[in-house]
Amino acid sequence: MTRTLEKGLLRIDLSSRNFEFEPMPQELIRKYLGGRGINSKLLFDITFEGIDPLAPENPLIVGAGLLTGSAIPSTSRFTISAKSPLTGCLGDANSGGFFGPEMKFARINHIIIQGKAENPVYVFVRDGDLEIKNARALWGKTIPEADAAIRKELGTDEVQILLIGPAGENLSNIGSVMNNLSRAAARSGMAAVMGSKYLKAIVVKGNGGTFVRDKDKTFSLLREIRESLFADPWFHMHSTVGTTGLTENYNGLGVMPIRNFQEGYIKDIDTISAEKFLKHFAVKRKSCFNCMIHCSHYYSVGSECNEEGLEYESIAALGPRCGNFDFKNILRANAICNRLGLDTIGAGDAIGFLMECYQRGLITKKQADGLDLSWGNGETIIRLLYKLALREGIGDLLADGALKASKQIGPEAESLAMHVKGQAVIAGDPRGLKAWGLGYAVSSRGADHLRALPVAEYSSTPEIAKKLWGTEAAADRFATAGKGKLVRWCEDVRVLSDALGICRFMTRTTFLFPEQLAKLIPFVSKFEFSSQELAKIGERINNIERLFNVREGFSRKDDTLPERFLSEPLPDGPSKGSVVNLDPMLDEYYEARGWSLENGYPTEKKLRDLGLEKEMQCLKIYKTNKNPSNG
Amino acid sequence: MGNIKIFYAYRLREITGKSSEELELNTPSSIHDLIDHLAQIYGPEFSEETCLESLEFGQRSSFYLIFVDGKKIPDLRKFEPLIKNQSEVTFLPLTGGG
Repeated sequence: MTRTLEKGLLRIDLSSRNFEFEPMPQELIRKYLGGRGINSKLLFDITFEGIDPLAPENPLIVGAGLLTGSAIPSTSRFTISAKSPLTGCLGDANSGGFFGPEMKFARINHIIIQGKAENPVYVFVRDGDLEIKNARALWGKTIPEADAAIRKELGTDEVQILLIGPAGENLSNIGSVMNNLSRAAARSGMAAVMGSKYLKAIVVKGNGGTFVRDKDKTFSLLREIRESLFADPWFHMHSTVGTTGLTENYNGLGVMPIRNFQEGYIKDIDTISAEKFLKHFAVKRKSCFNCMIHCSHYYSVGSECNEEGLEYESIAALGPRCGNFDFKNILRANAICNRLGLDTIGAGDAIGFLMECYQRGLITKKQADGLDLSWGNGETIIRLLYKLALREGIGDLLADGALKASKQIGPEAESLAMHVKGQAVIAGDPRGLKAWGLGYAVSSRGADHLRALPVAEYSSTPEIAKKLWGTEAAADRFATAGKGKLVRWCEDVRVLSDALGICRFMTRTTFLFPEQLAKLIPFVSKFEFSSQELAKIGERINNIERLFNVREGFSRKDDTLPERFLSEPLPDGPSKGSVVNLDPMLDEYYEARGWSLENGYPTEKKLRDLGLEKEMQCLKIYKTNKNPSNG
Repeated sequence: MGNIKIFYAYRLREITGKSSEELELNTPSSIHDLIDHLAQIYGPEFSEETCLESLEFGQRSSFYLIFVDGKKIPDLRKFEPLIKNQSEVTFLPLTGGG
């Protein structure tokens, strides 16, 4: 059976309970591919300057990538987009699992949800039909409880469910949207947008197949991909340890976020190593849709906790970031986040921040509901997770992230919030990874590592760096030269995997370059693109996202890092003495992008080159000609 | 002779049976001197593992990233004596992400 794109766009208005299946505009695919790309374009078009992120008009857009659900391995990814209540800028969160492919099997590429239901609801989409169902009995339930209740009500396990937990219902800006119980689309506060619409879940069931242009040639391609992967030691490592192996790596680089980034290195990391996880807790491996890497694991912590899905970011956020090196406690905390629908990064960041406030005498035990906020207190961490998901007591202060909490605690606390544009910095200290720092600063969704994922600064050779980014220094993690070009290049390549729906692990090496991706697309879709077209699409998506943020008032002044990274040298370890010198990297980045050095706005020339004239006219700064130079 | 500290990750932990160790080495030494020395202790599997290559940015590249005192050895084909007394050497597999 072949997949059609004729009715690939689903619009739902929860206020009026109307819905419509529309044709997927082909031009949109030609210019933005799908997934994050089309989501960002739709978000720009549907919203307006100053829209309230929690208002009914703010659309929640769920987009499968162009290749999501295809025969190409690791094509499980989908993106959820909206204006972010956490940052006030463009928001999106990406996830694997099985929900995105099921959308494709139901012949849906993108779902746009606006309005607000009168009472909690969930929507059930099935091959060209849709029901809006009562979810009052589901409101307040955890992820596993609600998932099971929906399956029971529908009388089938043959559905994929995207849902929020108590954190999203309570409009926590650090909630996560979950699928397959433990796959999280966790960043940018998308769960709060869903909660603001009284939308508990989106359930999809599809009976369509997947498109293959030529079966024999496609099988031949798949064999090549498999052989290439199996020959690579990198594949074996990720299929064995997943991202838990990064714990030793990041500590080895001296960039662990220990005690809210006060330190970057600990001598004995063995207590939370991948080796310990595999030996004592991992039960078996788990993969997303059509993936040979199977980087995830089911794990067990005795009879009290059986869970799936542990990532380095979650270990570091709920562990070292909070001074916690008790692996059992970290594993329990990770499971609780999944069940409550909480972003492990945002939650760990908020708790680490609060613990540093306590260390510095900015908050008392009494103000913290009597909790002992000493570093590494695992039981306090667990109790705080429940409190912030339910907005109970001190949890209400933390529920919207560290920055918003700091504004209530006082001016001294603001410098302890480790964020960019309000979103928590991930667990890699930029003082020892300069390109990562630049990537966090300029990311269109606030602090984020996946927009650029500039691993090249420590993994590539000087020769590669010189060839691709003009200087050998781009491969020196302590240097600033070359990092602007490196981050721009990485952002434009990485966004293609988000728009196509391919996992970062597959696009990190095997399908990294536009030339490689261009060869895949015709096998499993009805489209063809040259590598030059793909490169331009990558750049166009990053520019439409920048335009969204410029329209919301963001500029160079917001592309910055917490003061700690700029002025406090790391005290110990392999990155000892290092700070981030951001301005020269920003200058190089804007220049490489064709954006104004003065304010970071895309120049008219750049926007015209990318075919974004119409979008440019939506912004006052271009209408009034107060825009940057056209050079 | 000098004292150095070495940190191992991933498969090198299995091969050596430890996550770190301190040992005596003639210093200054190159990274090749060190790998030869460790291969004598742990067998040829140690040098075979550290010589694994992975695909990186379209080219074959060393799978292990080796850092001496926090700085990456930029090119394993070079033989500069970078390891000094009290140096810390770290072997990390090529990975990244979160």
